[in-house]
Amino acid sequence: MFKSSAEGRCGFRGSFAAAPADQDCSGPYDGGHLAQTYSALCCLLVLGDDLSRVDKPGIVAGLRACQLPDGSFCAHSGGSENDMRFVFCAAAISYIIDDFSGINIDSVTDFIRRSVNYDGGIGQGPGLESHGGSTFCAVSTLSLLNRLWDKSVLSTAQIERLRRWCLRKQGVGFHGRANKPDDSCYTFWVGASLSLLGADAFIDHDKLREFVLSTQDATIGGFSKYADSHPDALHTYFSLAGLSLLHEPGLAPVFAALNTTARTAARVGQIRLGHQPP
Amino acid sequence: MRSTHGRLFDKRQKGELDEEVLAISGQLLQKNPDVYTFWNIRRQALILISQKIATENGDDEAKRDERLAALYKEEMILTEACIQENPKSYGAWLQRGWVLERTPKPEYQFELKLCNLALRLDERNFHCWDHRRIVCRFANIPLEDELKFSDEKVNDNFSNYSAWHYRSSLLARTHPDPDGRLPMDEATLAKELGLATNAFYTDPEDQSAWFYTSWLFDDQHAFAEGPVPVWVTVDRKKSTILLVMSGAVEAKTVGDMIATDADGEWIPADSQAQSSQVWLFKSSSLGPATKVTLSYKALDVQVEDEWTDLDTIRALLAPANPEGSLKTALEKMLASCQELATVEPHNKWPTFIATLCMRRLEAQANHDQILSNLEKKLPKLDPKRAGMYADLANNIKVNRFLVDALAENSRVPDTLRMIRKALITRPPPPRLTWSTPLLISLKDAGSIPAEGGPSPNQGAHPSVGRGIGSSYAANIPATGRPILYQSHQPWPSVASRQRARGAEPATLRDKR
Repeated sequence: MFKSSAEGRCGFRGSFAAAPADQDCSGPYDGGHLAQTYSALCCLLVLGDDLSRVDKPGIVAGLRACQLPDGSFCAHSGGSENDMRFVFCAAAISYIIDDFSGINIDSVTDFIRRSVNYDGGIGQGPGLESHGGSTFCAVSTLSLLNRLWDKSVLSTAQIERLRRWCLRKQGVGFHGRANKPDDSCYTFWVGASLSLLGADAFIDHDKLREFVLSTQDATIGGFSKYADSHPDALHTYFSLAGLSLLHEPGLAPVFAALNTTARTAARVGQIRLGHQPP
Repeated sequence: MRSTHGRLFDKRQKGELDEEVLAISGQLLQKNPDVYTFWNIRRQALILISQKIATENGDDEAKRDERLAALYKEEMILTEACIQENPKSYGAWLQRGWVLERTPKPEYQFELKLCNLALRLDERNFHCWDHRRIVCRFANIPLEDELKFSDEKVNDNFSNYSAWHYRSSLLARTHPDPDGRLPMDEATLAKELGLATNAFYTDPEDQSAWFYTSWLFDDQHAFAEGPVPVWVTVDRKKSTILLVMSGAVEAKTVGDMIATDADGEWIPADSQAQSSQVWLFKSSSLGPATKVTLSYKALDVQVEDEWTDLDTIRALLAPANPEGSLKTALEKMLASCQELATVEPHNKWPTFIATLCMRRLEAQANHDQILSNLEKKLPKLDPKRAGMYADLANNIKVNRFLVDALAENSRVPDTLRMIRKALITRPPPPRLTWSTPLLISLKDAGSIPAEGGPSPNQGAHPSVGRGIGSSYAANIPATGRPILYQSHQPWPSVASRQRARGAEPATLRDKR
């Protein structure tokens, strides 16, 4: 259990590299990090934990401390870059702990609205280029906040343009930005976006699968960014998650908005209802 | 490395945030610029040291500024080295921006030169583009100068997608459309279309200029002044009022718009939604004599059974064809695309953009040609996106049915009676457009056939694992008939709406 006595700095650290485990927060630059908090909560859910030992009010205060006037989030209260990645982390964290009071919803949805670009895609922030990763982060955030389909942030026309932007990212596999090479991890980032937008039926499933499988290492397994490159955990996970969205047999179904399996996401519901996880 | 690391944390623990901390963390960051903890420690140290400098130099502002500038200059040298080590390091670029805000002697021109250099090495480096934006903001560099910069970049390399993107974000601010309907004023738009044409003639396979083109003539806002009511039906037997807006609104707007003495509650078509285009008022006391008044801007009308704004509905279905310089520019674009299509028969872009041009110019007159492109030509040229083209064709066909159904000489009162009957019973599905209620009622009345099953593309995909909200499948049939979205559930009850509201913490709504 992590001690979290400092207001606005609560959450999970990535490691003990910056401070030993037996210490309380040692100062303004030792505290929770949104991406680590999201990861830690997901890990706990995967492992069947009921989150009862998690300091939820502390996490909520930590989120609040990380939201900036423009609606976006930085990663920790000590200050960092701010962009759509941490917006997603904040939304996912809130969804998992079932408490959205750490987020100013109007201001975060305004940030997303202002990050929609001329080509229909969504960037890391206003003025930044449309990108598969930030598009997923924005779409999943809206989905988790229940603001994706009510036209309060994205109009029907914008959703149409967004779908087309995503679909245009298919070369053989998906790439994350126009004129960039296909990369297996975008199988998830773009694939999941299309799934949430209800347009995954329009992907060329065969070509996408062909590309992803081509990135598998024939000797040691695992998936790489491109074919004939080095496999790593990140690309392996996102390739598998992407393939699951394409209903690849033998893979657990994925809950796109949280970037976990459906089983893990269901645990969130079980915890809310007070049920024991199986 | 580990002992240096240890020394750094040791000093931090003791609160000794001094020049040695800067030296140590600098060493470490040059090797790995992504350890954000070290940047954090540096910022703390720099703040303390700069405070010390300020105190030590008291009234001597010049001396103070000189020392501070020197301190921050060192920081700039470090971040430059780090950026060379990893040009995509979030921490290094952030630190540069942080310093720029603080140093008494910012060197903006140097910053721009650095950006130029970094962009020459990687023209898609978005950290660099973002830093440029920050520099321009701090230095108050006129947007027109940046527009010239994007000119150079685009002309250097037409496939520089980032440069086109930069242009798109500048032009809306430098040359805004006074009516707010186009992305920029008409004259500038015509020029940009010319630039894009030049680009795609030079490199027809590259998507940058084609994407840019499709943005230029997309009608951004159907109604610049916001959603308007398009029809209201009152069922005094069932004690309900149905309101359909051209765009989504929240409950408060609806309450302000429709006044009635009857008790009841407004429910959006999707009980989970904050805003909706379709709202239902369920009451127990709406009788034959109850007043129902619709007030919106200049409009102030008592509604007996129904009220529609057919002109608005027709305008939404079939917006006016463009005139003047926009029309000329679109015609030129269309001609260029058609010419290029003959020269580049395997390239999908000229045909796709020509199709969008035709739709924008004269959607109804060009209907058949548009469909032919979407259903026959484009799937051959771009088979991976066959589903996307089919979906677009479907939407266009559905639109056309509505245009015909509501044409000047159609039997409008019959249509409206159908609407009232169908919609009071059940709401349109959540992923609706404003015209979905009309579609459903026309289908119910047998005016539009709805047939077909899942497309070959789709197969029998289970809905499991699709995340929040099930997949909203657009059935693309092999036949030419459009498919309408089915709705099977009844209107949400007041209780379910309350439950939906109760599921959200009370503070959500208070966040403003």
